[in-house]
Amino acid sequence: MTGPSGSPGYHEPVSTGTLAFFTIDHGTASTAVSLIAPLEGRFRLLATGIAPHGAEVDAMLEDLVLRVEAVEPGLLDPVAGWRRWARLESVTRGPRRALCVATSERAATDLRRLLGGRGWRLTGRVLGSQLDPLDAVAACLDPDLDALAVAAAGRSDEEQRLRARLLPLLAAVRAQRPDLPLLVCGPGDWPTLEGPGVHALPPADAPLDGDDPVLDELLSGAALPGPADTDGELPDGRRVIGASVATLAQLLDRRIEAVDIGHSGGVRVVAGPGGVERRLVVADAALVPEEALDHDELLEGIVGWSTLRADPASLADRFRNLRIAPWRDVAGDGARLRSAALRAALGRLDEAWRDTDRGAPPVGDMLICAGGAFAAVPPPAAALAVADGMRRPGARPLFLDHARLLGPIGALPDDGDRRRLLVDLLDDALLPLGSVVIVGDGRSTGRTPAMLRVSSRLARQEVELAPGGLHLVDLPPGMPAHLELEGREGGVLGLRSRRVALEVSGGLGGLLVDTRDVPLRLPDRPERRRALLEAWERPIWGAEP
Amino acid sequence: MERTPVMSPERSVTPQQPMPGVSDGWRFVPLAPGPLLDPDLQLRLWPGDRALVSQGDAVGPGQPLVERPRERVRLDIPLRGEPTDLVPGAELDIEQLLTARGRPQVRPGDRVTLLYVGADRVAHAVVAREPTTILSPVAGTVVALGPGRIVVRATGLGLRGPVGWGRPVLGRLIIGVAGPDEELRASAIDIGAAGAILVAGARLDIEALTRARAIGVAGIVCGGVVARELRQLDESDERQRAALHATTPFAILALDGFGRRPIPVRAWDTLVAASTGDPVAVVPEARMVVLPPGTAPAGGRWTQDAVRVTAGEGTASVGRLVGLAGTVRRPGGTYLPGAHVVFPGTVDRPVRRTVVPLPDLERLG
Repeated sequence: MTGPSGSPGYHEPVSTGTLAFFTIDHGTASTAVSLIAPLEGRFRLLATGIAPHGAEVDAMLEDLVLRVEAVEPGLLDPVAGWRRWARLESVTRGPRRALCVATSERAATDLRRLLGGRGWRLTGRVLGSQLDPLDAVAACLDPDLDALAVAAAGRSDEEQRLRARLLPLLAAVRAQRPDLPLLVCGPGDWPTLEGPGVHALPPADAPLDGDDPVLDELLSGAALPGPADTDGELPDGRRVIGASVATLAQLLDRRIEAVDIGHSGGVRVVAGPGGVERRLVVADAALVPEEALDHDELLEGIVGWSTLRADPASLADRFRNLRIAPWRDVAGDGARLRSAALRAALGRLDEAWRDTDRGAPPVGDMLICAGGAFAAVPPPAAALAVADGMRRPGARPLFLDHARLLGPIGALPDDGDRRRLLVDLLDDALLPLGSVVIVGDGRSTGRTPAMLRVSSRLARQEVELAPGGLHLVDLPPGMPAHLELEGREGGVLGLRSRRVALEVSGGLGGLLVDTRDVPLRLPDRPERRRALLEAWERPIWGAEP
Repeated sequence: MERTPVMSPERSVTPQQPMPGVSDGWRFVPLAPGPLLDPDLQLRLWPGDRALVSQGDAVGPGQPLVERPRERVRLDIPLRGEPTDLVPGAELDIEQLLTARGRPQVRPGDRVTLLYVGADRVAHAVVAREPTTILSPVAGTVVALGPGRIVVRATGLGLRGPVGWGRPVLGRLIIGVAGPDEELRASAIDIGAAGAILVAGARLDIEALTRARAIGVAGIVCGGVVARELRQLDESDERQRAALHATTPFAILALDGFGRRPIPVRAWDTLVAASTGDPVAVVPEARMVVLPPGTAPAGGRWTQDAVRVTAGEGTASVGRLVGLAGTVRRPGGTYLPGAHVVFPGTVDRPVRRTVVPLPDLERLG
């Protein structure tokens, strides 16, 4: 488990005395560490910890060792050399910034999809069709840019005319800022743009499906000049999480979906037994995006999910502070604040996911929630956030990557290593959050009640589900249940059938049955909106102070 | 989410006892941001701006740094022939443009800078009109100068904050409140603060901000500021510009965020140390206050286990971290790693020991 061959190892050589090792996920807001060691013939997750970014990683690792040693002395024998134990690490970095320079609206939209779907923040755009030289030069010379991204939409006469308008601008900017990389989509469209600092990308309308290692390497920033990273060559957690999800999909022979919301962006990935089918990394899907500090409209979209009673200006400032210091003030109201921001972030990620669609988006048989944002809310609130932000009729079991293992394990270059590790760690790594069942789309079942029957070893319930509401069934982790849904009119779960039976499993958040509209319809007036959200949240937060 | 290890009864711990693990729990707490030595200040340059210094130059407070026009106008000049000496970013000869026909946009005193020459042989340029001078707020050295930016390495100590508003200012430092978590009232701002940088504690309301600006306070350094009040200042400036009134430079720097936020203790200590010395500068664009060289940096009086509560109950309290408390369920249903912190007693309150979530702590020493 050393670094990729040919590259400097990113951790010390594996010691010969023990097979115990650490995983470290360096986030932009927090660091998660875990201790994994063989126990009774298989690798087990023995301890895990999380601390704000800036805490001493070695102290966290030492603490794991000492905690395990305090509980089971001798289990890790010998522990004295823990500093030499292997470390699997991944890191999440803040998004890079690019200015979009495109011939037309269409090309700019494609470019936004290509870069915006791979974690870049596009700070603005310059269009050949609406070129203002003064504004364009000012935008291109922004010292905070990491690159200029250039695209055209084909080679029609009109496109060639617009390209000819942009080329002198680009030449002037390159003359003044030769250090600024140029990402050129479809370099065949831009024959005169070549030389040092010019990086060729596929055409901007190229599909996003699957993984393209060369493109990912370039767009993850590894191949671009920039400020030196203190974390050296650690693999990008947002990229390698796809490898873990793909390995899980092979192992379970199912289609797995994972969603990760963090401080610097959001990731959504779907993988089947054949590999990654789609992966999207969106900077704007951060818990509170950086842009929200200055853009009231974006912030209002987040504040609109909050049920906290405070004057709007104070509430908006609390969300701004969540951007500035994401680890602070988690308890009490802080959990509700994060719950609101998480729902909004999932909504933005879902919007980008559907926007990139060139057909029906792939859907996972199960959903793994990852990232610091999910860890900061209680499990039922996490389930509700998924139901609110990723609305699709159907049933999905939810799991939480509570120890943030998927990134570091995905950093293993060998698929066989990943598979062997995940086989052993599956039960430890994925915490069952519960299941979310979204009954209908609001056109049929939304008007009339539906019947719900849940049978498990613990109880049997029969409930008439009122339209437009949420029903929380207490179903413990790992508890299977048989669920029957019967709509009075039309189909349920997005199917034509009026009666559907399925197996679901419980979790820390129980079973959440949702009869609200798809998509959600929320009142515009803040008071009504908050009253409705409060009514929906009541079963979730009811037990909390 | 974290699961606490299952322990046998003889090894179990009570909430009052530290959890097994590292004894120096302060290593889990990030160090509070402190002053930066000789910080770099980046200022944005726009098309039409002219740097009045060169890379490597030493600059002093009040020295002209950049000539910035009050008005920028785009100019398109059809070219005749194939001029070869047109360099993007270079100034064009105003005399030639003044004598050319059909160029009413150019007036004597204007500066014209070439943006680039288009494919249609039209030179796109920017006319810079009514120059103003941006003065260096700090002493230092110009370490980078190029299209789009100028970077000055300031001599002194820098305190960075997340929120800045206004234009660079320079003035003597006045501590306007008794402690870092107090609020500055409008009635407490008097004319003696004119031209000064006022340290305003945890926040100040719009009334105090307006009064400070009206009596000529140069800048405000505080813990937090309400974003809505910054918008009101923006609108006020916009109205003054529309009425062609010159606005006096004024700067605000919030060192900890939005709303009511106590000034971080290390920053407070440094500001107090600087309040008897030379003038300080607030550079909102760089979100930094620059204190004169020789200011005693904070941190010396704190031991390694000294921590400050940054959020939640007891915000701004300073105590001593005596051990880790393991994962604790908090109000709201979240599970957080916690630490035992001992807070010193006061006249009204005895010494107390409590569990504080690790994410709500920052280390001072």
